Amino acid sequence: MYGFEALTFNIHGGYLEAVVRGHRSSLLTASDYNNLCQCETLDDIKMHLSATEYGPYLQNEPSPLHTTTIVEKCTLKLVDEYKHMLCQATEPLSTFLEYITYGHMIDNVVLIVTGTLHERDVQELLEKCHPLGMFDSIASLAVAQNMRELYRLVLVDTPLAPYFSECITSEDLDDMNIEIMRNTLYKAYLEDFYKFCKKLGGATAEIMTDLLAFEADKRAVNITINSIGTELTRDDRKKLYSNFGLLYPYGHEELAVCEDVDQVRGALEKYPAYQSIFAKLSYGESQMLDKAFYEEEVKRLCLAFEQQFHYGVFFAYMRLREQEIRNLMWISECVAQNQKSRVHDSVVFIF
Amino acid sequence: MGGTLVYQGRLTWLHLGRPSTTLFLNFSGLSGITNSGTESSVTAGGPLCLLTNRHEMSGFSLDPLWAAGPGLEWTGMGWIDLASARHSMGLSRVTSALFDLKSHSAATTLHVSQQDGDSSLLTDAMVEQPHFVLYKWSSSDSGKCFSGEIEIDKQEMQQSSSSELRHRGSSLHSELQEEYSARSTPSPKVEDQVQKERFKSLSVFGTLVSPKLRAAQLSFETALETLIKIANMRSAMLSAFAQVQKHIEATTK
Repeated sequence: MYGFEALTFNIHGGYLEAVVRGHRSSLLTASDYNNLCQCETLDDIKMHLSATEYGPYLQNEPSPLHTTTIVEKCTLKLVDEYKHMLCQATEPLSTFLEYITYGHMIDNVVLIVTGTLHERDVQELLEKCHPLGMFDSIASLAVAQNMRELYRLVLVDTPLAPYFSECITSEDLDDMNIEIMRNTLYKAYLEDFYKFCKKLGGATAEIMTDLLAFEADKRAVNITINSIGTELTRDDRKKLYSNFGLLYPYGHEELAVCEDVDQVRGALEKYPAYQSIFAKLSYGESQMLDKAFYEEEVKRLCLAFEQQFHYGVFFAYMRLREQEIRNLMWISECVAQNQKSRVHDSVVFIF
Repeated sequence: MGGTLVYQGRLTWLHLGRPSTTLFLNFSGLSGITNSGTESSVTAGGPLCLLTNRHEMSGFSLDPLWAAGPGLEWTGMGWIDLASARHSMGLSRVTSALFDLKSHSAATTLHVSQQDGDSSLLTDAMVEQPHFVLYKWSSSDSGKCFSGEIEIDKQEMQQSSSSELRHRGSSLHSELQEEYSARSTPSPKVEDQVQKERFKSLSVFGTLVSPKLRAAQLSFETALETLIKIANMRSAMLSAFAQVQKHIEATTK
């Protein structure tokens, strides 16, 4: 019953909610980012991060540092925090936490399959996989020749199995089919996560459905913009949009026929929630669209912490940490390439 | 007799022995080129005029290169655009682990040929100069190259240098840019094929890639074209210098 979570939530979820709120307070602030943006070298960045919770993860890294090393170690911290929360969680929170990682699992599957198609070594591909998306039989993905084999040999025993019902064909895996597989899997995952959150009910359902609807809409816009000028047909494009969200179904009808960024703008400006995003961009511009969407997403994720006794804080924390890691990656790249004038192009302040 | 290279403002004068045989080399705005013959780096790029005995004037212009000067930054832009694409798409989507190791033909090739020196400068055409030609976006299916040669030949340079001498001024660089882009605009059919080849080469990262990755590809493509132009300009300059040296040696004998 919505509104009465305060009576029972803390029995099973109180400790972990306190843990995640503690982690949230350690997210980098605007003054941390200002200091980082003024660094001249990656070693300076390491020195500034040593005063944060990333310190223990970076302190033993030898110079010269690379941007990939910084990202890898920061991600390791996130993984450790997640694993601690997962092993302490009971149902249904444990299932909720597992749902958060299925997106990374899909990315890892696609990485292994694409790399195998390009005759890359499996060990090399496994090193590039996201640690949150690893599962036991992931290395066996390399033997599959088509999607049917992919499902039968490997994925049938993974949490992604239910999402494959729309993907199973005997067609050989090529670049286009893999891309369609990626987006179809992600669509099925989002819809499943949405249904699960709705079933949980209460504040979790209210907050998570809003966050997932935004995620679905953001993906629809990205798929539209990325497919402009490609061989993807309008019907195939529409099939990749999720069946929920603010843009479903009428916004999707308009997005499916868009041929340039201005038409996408025209389709989305009808929705007040997305007017503010496009108000920041000039006509024809798409470079800053990512940043505008990330800023909106961060605003919504931060609002999740304003309410207690729901699981949305765990999802919000994971996403905010991922945004922080993206920020650190961008700052490191700008410093390493001596392009500090571009550093504010993509950094999204969280607090 | 040897010569001394003197820099004065935007003019570089190469005095060679007798005052009657003074060669004026005017450089302005070109950076990064080293003329090993003079052991100096050229720090400016503008009209390059060779006057022999003050009666004969022929030259080739570095102004296309001056117009392409900002293009030298394209390499840096390409790398930052690539980082932007990785930021947008995710580290697992844009990674070297996805490069295709199956054997396939190169999308872009560089051919080096030896050309004879410019006979309009001097009678001695025995000096060879290497000439670089970039064949972009060769289709792996048909073996055809869609965007053709990218080069600046001597005739174009001479034509543009003579027009520059008549039309000096601040609008010069923009005029040359417009002229060059008009000359190099391909037909719509070729442009479509080139776009297809571009998408094909990016397909290692997936078929639905971010516009930032496409921007990175364009930046690197422009950087490559600029490097070829620089190489051809340098080759022409070195060849011209060699010819002038030979002529001076012949006349002093």
